[in-house]
Amino acid sequence: MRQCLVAFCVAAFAGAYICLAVSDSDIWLHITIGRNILASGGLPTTELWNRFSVGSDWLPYPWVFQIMSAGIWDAWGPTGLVLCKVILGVLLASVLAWTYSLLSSSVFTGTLIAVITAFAAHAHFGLKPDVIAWICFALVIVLAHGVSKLQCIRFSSAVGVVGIFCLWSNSHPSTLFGLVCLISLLGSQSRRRLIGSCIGLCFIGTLLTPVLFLGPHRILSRFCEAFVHPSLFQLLPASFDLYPVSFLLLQLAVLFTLLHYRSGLLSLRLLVALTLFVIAGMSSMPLLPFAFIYTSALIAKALPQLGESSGALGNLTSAALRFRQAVTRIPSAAACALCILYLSGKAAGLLREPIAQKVLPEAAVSFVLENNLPDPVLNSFGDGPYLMFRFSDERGVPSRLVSVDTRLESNDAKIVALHDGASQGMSTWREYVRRVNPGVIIWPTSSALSTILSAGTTWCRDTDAEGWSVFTKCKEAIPAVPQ
Amino acid sequence: MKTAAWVLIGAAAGLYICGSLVDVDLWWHIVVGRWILHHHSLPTVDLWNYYSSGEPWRAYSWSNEVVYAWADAAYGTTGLLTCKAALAVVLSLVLCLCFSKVAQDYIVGALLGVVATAACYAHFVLRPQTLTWVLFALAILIGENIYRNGPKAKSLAAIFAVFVVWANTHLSAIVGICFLLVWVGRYRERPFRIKPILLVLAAAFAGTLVTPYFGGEWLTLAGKVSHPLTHRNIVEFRAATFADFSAAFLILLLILLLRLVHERPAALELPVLAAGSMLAYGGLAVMKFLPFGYIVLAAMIARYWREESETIASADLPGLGDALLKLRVLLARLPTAVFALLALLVIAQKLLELNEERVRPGAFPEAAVSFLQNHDLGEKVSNVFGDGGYLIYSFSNSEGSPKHKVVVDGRTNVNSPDVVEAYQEALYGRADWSKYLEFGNDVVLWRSKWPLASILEEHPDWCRVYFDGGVSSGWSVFLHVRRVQSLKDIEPRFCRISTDGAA
Repeated sequence: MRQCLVAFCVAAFAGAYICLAVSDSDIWLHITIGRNILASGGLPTTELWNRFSVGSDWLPYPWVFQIMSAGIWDAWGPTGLVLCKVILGVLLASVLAWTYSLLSSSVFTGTLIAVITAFAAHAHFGLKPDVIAWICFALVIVLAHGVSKLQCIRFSSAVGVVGIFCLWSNSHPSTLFGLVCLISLLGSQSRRRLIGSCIGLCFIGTLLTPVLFLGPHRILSRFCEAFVHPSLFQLLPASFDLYPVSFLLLQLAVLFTLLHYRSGLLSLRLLVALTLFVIAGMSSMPLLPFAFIYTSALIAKALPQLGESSGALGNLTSAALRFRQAVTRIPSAAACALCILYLSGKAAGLLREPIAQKVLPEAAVSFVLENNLPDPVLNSFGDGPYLMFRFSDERGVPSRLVSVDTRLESNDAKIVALHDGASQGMSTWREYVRRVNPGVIIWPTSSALSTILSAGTTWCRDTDAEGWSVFTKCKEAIPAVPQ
Repeated sequence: MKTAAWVLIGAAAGLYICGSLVDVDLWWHIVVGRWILHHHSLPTVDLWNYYSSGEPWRAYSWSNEVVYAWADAAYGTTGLLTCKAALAVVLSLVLCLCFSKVAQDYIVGALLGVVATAACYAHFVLRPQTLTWVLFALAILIGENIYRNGPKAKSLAAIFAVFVVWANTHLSAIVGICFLLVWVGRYRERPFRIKPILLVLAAAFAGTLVTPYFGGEWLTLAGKVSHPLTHRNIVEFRAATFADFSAAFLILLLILLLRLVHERPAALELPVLAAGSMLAYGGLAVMKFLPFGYIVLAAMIARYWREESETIASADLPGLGDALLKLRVLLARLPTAVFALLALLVIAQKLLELNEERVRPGAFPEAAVSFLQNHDLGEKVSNVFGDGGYLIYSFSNSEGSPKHKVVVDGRTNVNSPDVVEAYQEALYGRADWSKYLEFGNDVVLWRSKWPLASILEEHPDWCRVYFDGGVSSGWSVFLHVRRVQSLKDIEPRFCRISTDGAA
């Protein structure tokens, strides 16, 4: 029991460590949509906030997270938001520690692997629905491990599978990953019925969403959302010099070192699934945490199988044992106290500045609203969610529409392409401006488009506030206030 | 017949990766070569960059530069393209030979050679660094001989010769030396023998000292070693992404190797695996080094094939090994004459293709530079980093002496840090873009689709006086309004001042 308490404290430390002030741009659109759901008592079925797709069919898939974030924001504001982030971080690290402890049959090893995995996910961690999907992914590993051990599905496990997939499919469209993970961990010729039952339960879980009540034709598309809306996964290939990729490569190096000494440690099926997760993560960076979690799970699974042959690892085993001895020498109470101390310090620091203001065009938007600058607004992709939030009332109803935002599935593809060209300073910027025909432009000052606009004579910069510029047509420019 | 077919396949693979002239740095190499041929000595200071002129500089690739200059002077672009095709064929044949000897199997070796050559496709250009891939493969081949038969005098002399050429070609000899030291060691032997490693180190290092600068290239390397990390905006110094064609080849080779090692972990020793992984990672982190990664991984697969030849022959290697064996048997069954004929067809078709297009259209600002020359605007042109080499070539005479010097060029160890810093601002269209233009003489030669072109097009003080190739692929020349008056025959439709009548 004491060991578990220390493990939880260490996991909580790791979870808190990866928490920074709220800087995720998407949280603002989640709050806005959540407010709309809470106010209207139902999910919106058409787009309301984007100027180029307003009125078209659209469903908010992470509605659970959106309601939660809107409720927290309205009740506790920034403090609630940042505390929610810390809780999510601690929960993630704790679930990982529990998962790897079960797989490796050692609380120490499991917690160590969980801490490393949490650190690996540092760059991806934010207040976003993806984190719920990672937690669900880890829970699927736990369930698969339990079912695999028992060779049958108990009622509690069946409820667990349905529950996890229900939560997952109402949070993030990546449930397919859970299915692949489950099949890889359970799969063998002799367990066909078991796998079939699990797939069935997963499918039932994914159906328990509001989509079920919106028409049967949407059920399949919901289950295969990844294929129906591939843009949801933001194909952004990982570059090999990035911090998270280095973590993944280190994890793979450890795994392949283990396999080099005992090639039979893991079946080919698990290695194929690993390859799939690694390819998915490297092809689309937001999916990298799934690769971290799965790779760590395989390491945790392989370690107890080394058994007596762990001696073959030579210095590596010796180093691991010494490290363990050194860590276990620290008194449990002292370790817990240190972790709690860190956690309180971190929480206090985050409460001082719960929201990273530097990443928000707060002053620029206030300037636009205070001066009632003319519509439409031309904005950059990343600023879209915050503008949605500021331009909507407490019921999530917009007074102004954005030209582009981060919901790739509800943006006009041509506008996004033109936006990309404009943000890179290509000569097609004119076409973007022509299509939006803006009354006001809110754009990051350091971006090429701001430099282009300020070089010309058509647009005048009204303000350069905290990294964002506001441009209006020169004849409509606000006269400078004499100092 | 078998040997002829083997050679033809190698040559066909080499020519397959050889395209028309496209490399931007080739041109300054030619100018340096011209200067060396004319003065019968090597430059010790820079002569072509306005802001570094007179600063100490070593022409460490002089051997290749002399060849390029001679080929250009004697036969023009035909000569340069012939050099490129010859280099491609040599690369492919050396890779096939190296892997065939390491694997002790000419079919598997040729297969690996062709794959490694094809992997180099996106990187292959007529530059000194390409020759280092050939030298690297030769070093591995000699290293394998030392690994099998011990450090004999002949092998050590060959190592010495390889590194003499390498040191007179490129600064990357250290990559070859480090990997060679790992490759020749027999780490499972007890007691471990250090002597072969020390002898190889001595021979290789001695080779790098036989240069006109007496090994001064090591000092240049020490000053340049951080450049891949500090010049990330240069394409070849970027980290590979998972979606890159070149990275995909490396990853496929890596997966093949790991799969084989998974079956027989003891076939390759851990230091070799670690060094190979490091080189592969180095290539992924800095794309310029990817070809070393391909060669290393293919060499490791070849060594694995030889080490496990008995297991393979007894069909004891399940799955992938078995599949490879079946592929080998299938290839051996096909008539040699068919291979030879197919290879000949590829070679003929490729030669015709190269003859039709010797220089890739739109790769260099030829017309824009002609415009500058015709209007006598060549002095201190604010240019794009990559175009500096072509400007050096265009603004130098047949003796390699410059008529006009450039503001920035592709030699990362030559450019003034202040100029490079200001260049970055202009490159990304940041607020301080105009600082870079202060280093020039009111003339800008820029790619039309890049931010600075859009900025200058909007700016009332600048006038676009030349434009070619469209907004997505061409070049533009901009002049400051104070210099526009001196040009009588500019295209008024490109100049906002002329059209608006504001000038």
